[in-house]
Amino acid sequence: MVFNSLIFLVFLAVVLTLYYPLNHRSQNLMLLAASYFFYGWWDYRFLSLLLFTSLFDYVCALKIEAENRPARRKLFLASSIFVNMGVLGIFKYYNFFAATLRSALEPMGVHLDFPTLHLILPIGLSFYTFLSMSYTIDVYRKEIPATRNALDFMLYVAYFPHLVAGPIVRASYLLPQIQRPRVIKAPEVENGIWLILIGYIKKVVIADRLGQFVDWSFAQPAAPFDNLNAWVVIYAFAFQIYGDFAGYSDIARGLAKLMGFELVVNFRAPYLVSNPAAFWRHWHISLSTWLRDYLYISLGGNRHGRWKTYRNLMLTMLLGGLWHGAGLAFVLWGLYQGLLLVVHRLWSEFRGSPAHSADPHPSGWLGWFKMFLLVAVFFHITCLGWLLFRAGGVRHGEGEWAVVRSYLRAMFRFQGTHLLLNFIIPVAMLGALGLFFQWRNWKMNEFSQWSSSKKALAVTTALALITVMGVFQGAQFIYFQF
Amino acid sequence: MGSRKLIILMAGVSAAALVLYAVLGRTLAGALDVRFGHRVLQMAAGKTTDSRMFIQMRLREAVFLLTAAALIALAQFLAACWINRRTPPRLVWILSALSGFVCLNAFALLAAHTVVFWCLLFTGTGTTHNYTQYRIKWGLTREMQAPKQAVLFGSSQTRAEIDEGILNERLGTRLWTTELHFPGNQVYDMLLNLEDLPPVKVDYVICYLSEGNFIVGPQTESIKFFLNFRNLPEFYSLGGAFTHPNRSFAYGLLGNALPLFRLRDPLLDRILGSSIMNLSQEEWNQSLVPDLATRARTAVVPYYFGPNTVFQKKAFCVFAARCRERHAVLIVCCGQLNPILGRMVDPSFRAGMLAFLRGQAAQDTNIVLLEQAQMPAQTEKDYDDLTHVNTATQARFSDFIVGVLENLMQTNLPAKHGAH
Repeated sequence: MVFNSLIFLVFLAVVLTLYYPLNHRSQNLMLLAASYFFYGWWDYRFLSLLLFTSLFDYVCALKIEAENRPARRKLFLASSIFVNMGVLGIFKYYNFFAATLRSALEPMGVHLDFPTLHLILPIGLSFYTFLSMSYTIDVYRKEIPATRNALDFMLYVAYFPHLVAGPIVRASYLLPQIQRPRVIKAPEVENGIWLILIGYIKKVVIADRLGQFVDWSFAQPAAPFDNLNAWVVIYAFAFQIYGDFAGYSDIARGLAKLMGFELVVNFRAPYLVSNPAAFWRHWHISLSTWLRDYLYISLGGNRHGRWKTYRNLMLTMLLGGLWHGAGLAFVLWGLYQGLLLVVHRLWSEFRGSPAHSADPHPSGWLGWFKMFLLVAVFFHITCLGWLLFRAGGVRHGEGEWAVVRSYLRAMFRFQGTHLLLNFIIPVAMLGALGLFFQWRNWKMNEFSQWSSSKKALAVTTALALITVMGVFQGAQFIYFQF
Repeated sequence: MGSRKLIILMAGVSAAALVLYAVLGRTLAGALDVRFGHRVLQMAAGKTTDSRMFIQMRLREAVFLLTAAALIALAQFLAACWINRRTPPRLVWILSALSGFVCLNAFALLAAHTVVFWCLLFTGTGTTHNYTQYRIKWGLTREMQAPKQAVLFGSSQTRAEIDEGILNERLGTRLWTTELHFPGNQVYDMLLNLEDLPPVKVDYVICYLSEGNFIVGPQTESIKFFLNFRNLPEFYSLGGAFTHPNRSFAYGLLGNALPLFRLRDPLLDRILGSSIMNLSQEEWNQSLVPDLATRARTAVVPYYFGPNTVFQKKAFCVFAARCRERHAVLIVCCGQLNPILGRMVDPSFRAGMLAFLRGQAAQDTNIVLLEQAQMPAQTEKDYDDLTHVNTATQARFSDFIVGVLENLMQTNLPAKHGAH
C-alpha cells in the first residue's frame, strides 16, 4: 500500500475514524494492528520478519538494561546488531557480496560457486532495522531506558507513516509519544493537512512527472541527448528524487500530526546549500544523523587526529552508500560523498573555518551573487553524484557502467548543441516548483498561523495542482527499495 | 476592498463585457478578420471556411467566459462570506478551499464548452492533444452553414481512410463533414462520441469499422474523456464492466465529477509540451519492429471472439438506434486491416463481424452497409502500417465516399425514425 494510492486514502479514513474516539491504550493497539495491516498489504509473509526483529530487539534491550556485567551487556548488544545486520545481509547484500567476491577471486584462479538466493527484498527493511537497532544501542549507552511494554515498542518500529521509508525516528523521540496520551491540537492537524498536500505535490506532481522523463531517458541504451540536454536528464532526476523522498517524508509527518505525533524533519533545502557538510544536514537528515551518531562517532569521529577523521568520514559515507542499495554504483556514490566531505573539510581547515559551520548569511548583492554561484556549483557536484545513484537503479543489458560512461561523455562533450527546449522547459518548470518548496520550506509549519483566506487560497491551489498535474499511477517511492 | 465594492466591480466587469460585445462585437470581428482572417483559415486547415464568423464566435465565447469568470468569482466570494458567518472559525478555511475548488471546476466545465478555450491549447498540427483537436472540431459543428451535415466517427483508421478535406472540397456547399475520430476508438466509444455531440442536425454518420473495433483487451482512451455518470446504467446493461480497464473507467467518472481533472491531459500538453507528455507513445513507437509481418504476429493476439466483442456488438445496436433517433443515416464502411495482419486473424472472427453487420443492416434500413466488394480494393502496398493506409489510398477511398454521399443525397434517403 503506497501513500499515493486510492486504497491508502480509504485505509487512512478508516484508521482516523477509529482512532479519534479511542482511549490512549486502545489507540496504540489499533495503530499497531493498522500498521501491520499496512505492511502486510504489500506482502503478508514479511510480517513475521518485522515481528521477529521487533521482539528480538525488545528482549535484547531488556536484557542489556537488566545486566550489569559489561561483557554480557556487550554480548546482548552484539546479538541485536548481528541479527539486524544478518537479516539485512541475507535479504539485501548476500547476492551482491557473493557475486563481487566471485568476480574478485576468479582472476586469481579461485572459482567459488556461491548459491544465488532468489529473495524478494522486503520493503523498508533498511529503515526498520536501523530504527530498531538504534534502540538497543541507545539502551546500551544508557541514553534511554528499555521499555517494558512490548506493544509500545512494536508500534514504535512499525508505525505506518514512517515504516517503509522513514524518517528514521529515534526511540528517545518517538517512544515517549507512544507511551503518553496524545493531545490532538487543531493547529497541528491543520499543519498536518498542509504537509500532506505539500507532500503529494512533491510526489505526484514533481517526482512522478519528472520520473516519466527520467525513466524514459535511462531506458535508452545510451544517453539520448548530449551536452546540456544530458545535464537536463540529471537535473530532472535530482528533482525527482528530492520530490519523491521529501514528499514521502512530508506525507509521513503530516499523517503523524493528524494522530497527535510529531516525526522529525527529514529534509530542509538540500539544493540551496553550498557545501557537502551542509547538504547532509539538509538531505535525509534522519539517516545522516543516524550514521553520525552510531557509526561515525563509534568509529572515533574526529577525536583521533586528522587522517582518522578522513578515514571515518569515508567509511561512514561508504556504508551510507551501501545502505541505499547493494550495488557497486551505490558504493561509489557513498565514496563520492565521503570524498566531497573530506575535500570540504580540508578546504575548511585550510581556510581556518570549522567544516560544520552553517552557510553564512550573505550581505549585499556581491555576497548574494557569491552565494548563488557556490550553490549553483555545488548543485552540479551533487548532480554528478545523482548520476551514479540513478545508474545503480538501471536494469538493462548494458549495465550501469555503460550508462554512467555514456552520460559523462555526453555531459562533458562541449560542442555546439541544439538545445531541446521541449524537454528543458518542462524540467525547468517542475524543478522551479521543487526549488520553491525548498525555499519556502521553513514556512511550512506556520500554516496554522495564516489567515483563513490565505489558507483557503493555498489549499485550493494545491488541490488544483494535484488534480491537473498529478500522476496517479501509484508509482512506488524510490526509497521503498532501500 | 469592501465586500460591496467587490460585488459592484464584478457585476460591472461582466455587464461591461456584454455591452461591449453587443455594441462592438461585429465591428471588432470584421477588423480582426481583415488583419488575421487569412492566418485563421491557414491554421484551421479546412475546418472552417468563414474566418469572420469564426472570429466573431470566438469573441462571443471570450465574453461569455469573462462573464462566467466574474460571476463564479462573485459566487465564491458570497460563499466565503456565508461560510465565515455560519461555520466555526476552525472550519472556515477548509470549506472556503473546497468551495474555491468547486468554483474552479465550474469554470473548467464552462470553458470546455467553448472553442476559444480549446484554441488556446492548440499547439499546431501534429502536436496538439487529441482531445483538444476533437473539442475544437466538436465545437465547430454548431457553426456550420451547409444545408446538410455529416460526421465521421471511429478510430484513427477512419481518419486514415477518409479525408474530410476532400469531402468538404467536393461537397462542402451542400454537405459539410466534420471528422470526429479518437485514437483507438471502438464501437462503444463511438456511442459515447455520438452522445457527446452538440444538439445539431446531423444527416449522415459515417464510420469505418474493421476487426480492430471488436477485439478483446481494448486500450481505448475514449472512456477516460467521454464517460459520464449518466452513461453508467447503459454501460453496465451492455456488459461493459467486465471488459474495460478500471483506470480508464475511474478516470472517466472522476473527469465527469471534476471537469478540471478531465482537462488535465490537454492542459499539461499545453503547459509542459507534447514531447514530455508523449514519452510512453514514443517508447511504444520505438518498440515497434520495422518488419510488418513480425509486428503482425504480436498484434494479432487480441483478435479473437471474447466478452468485449459481445459488448461492442451490443453497443453497435444502441449506436445505430441513436443515429436513427437523431434522424441521421448511418453509413458503415465494413473495412479491413492490412492484408498482412488480416491473413493472420482467425477467418471466423471476420465472418462473425460481417454476419453481425449484415444482420443489422437487414433489420434497419437506416443503415447503409458498404461491403469490401463495393469499396476500392486495398492491398498491402496501400498501407503505411498494419491498420493505416497511405495518402494516395486515402484520396481514392475519400473519392469513393464522396460518390456514396452524392448518391445518397440524390436519392434523398431519409433517416427512418424508429424503423425496424
